[in-house]
Amino acid sequence: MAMKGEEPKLTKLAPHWSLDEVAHHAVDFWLTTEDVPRPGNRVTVDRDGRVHLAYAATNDAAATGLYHELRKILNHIGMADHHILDKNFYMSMDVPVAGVAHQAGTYRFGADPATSVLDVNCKAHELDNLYVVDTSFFPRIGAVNPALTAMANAIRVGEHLLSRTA
Amino acid sequence: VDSNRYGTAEATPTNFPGHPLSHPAGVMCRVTSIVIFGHVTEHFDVIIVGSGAGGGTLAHLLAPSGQRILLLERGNFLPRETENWNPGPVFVDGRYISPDPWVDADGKAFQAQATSSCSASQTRWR
Repeated sequence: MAMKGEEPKLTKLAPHWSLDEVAHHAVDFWLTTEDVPRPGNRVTVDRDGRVHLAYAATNDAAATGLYHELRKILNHIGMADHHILDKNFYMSMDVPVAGVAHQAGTYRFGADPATSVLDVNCKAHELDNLYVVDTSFFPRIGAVNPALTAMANAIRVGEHLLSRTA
Repeated sequence: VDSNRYGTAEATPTNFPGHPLSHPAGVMCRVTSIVIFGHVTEHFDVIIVGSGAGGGTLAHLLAPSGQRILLLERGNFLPRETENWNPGPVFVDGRYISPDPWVDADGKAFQAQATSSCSASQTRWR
């Protein structure tokens, strides 16, 4: 199934049935590289309660390099050996800004209040009763899905809270 | 949480609604009271804001401790239905996306591919 909203720009004018047809003869690859920390990339809330997301791509060299590496490998494994015409072609796209599933950072943890919002137990440096246990504490996102790390950290912080309130 | 009993939470030393340090998945510990229509009616040891991957996991861990815990969640429960398992309704139709426009750096509104619902992070995203 061709995913609306996940279509490469090249296919913008193609009718949906044709994308479905292409999808049946296509192999999908998902390449992930890390968005490195950038102070300007942040989430804020305005007075009307609307969420503002400032985002600029980072680490483009790694993303471009990985994409070219994939193409290089695919061109050498004989995917179109038995065809007279070269039938390999590539359509790529980046996840749009609306793809907000893996946001992290902004309240990163650390030992130094000058460079972090939370201490190593994910407690706010300046408040005694505020802890943050979502992906905000990540100093960096890494290049993998963060949910299991967030859950593991929530357990770690929870055990700290239990020992603190015992 | 009983939907008829919405109130604002007062915490020491900072009132967290609207405070720069407030956060959808923040955890207020040793919070003093819940104020409903101006009257203090409930006391909690822990208030957890958001039932996602972090808040939901923490609530699960703290629940057996006997502490009084309030878990706040903006969204409703996801319906139990076959569409949950189907990429068409989930990704093409955006069936579970919360209609909640965000604003990008240029001031342009966009629909974030995000969901507000109980345990959304754990049930939908990995």
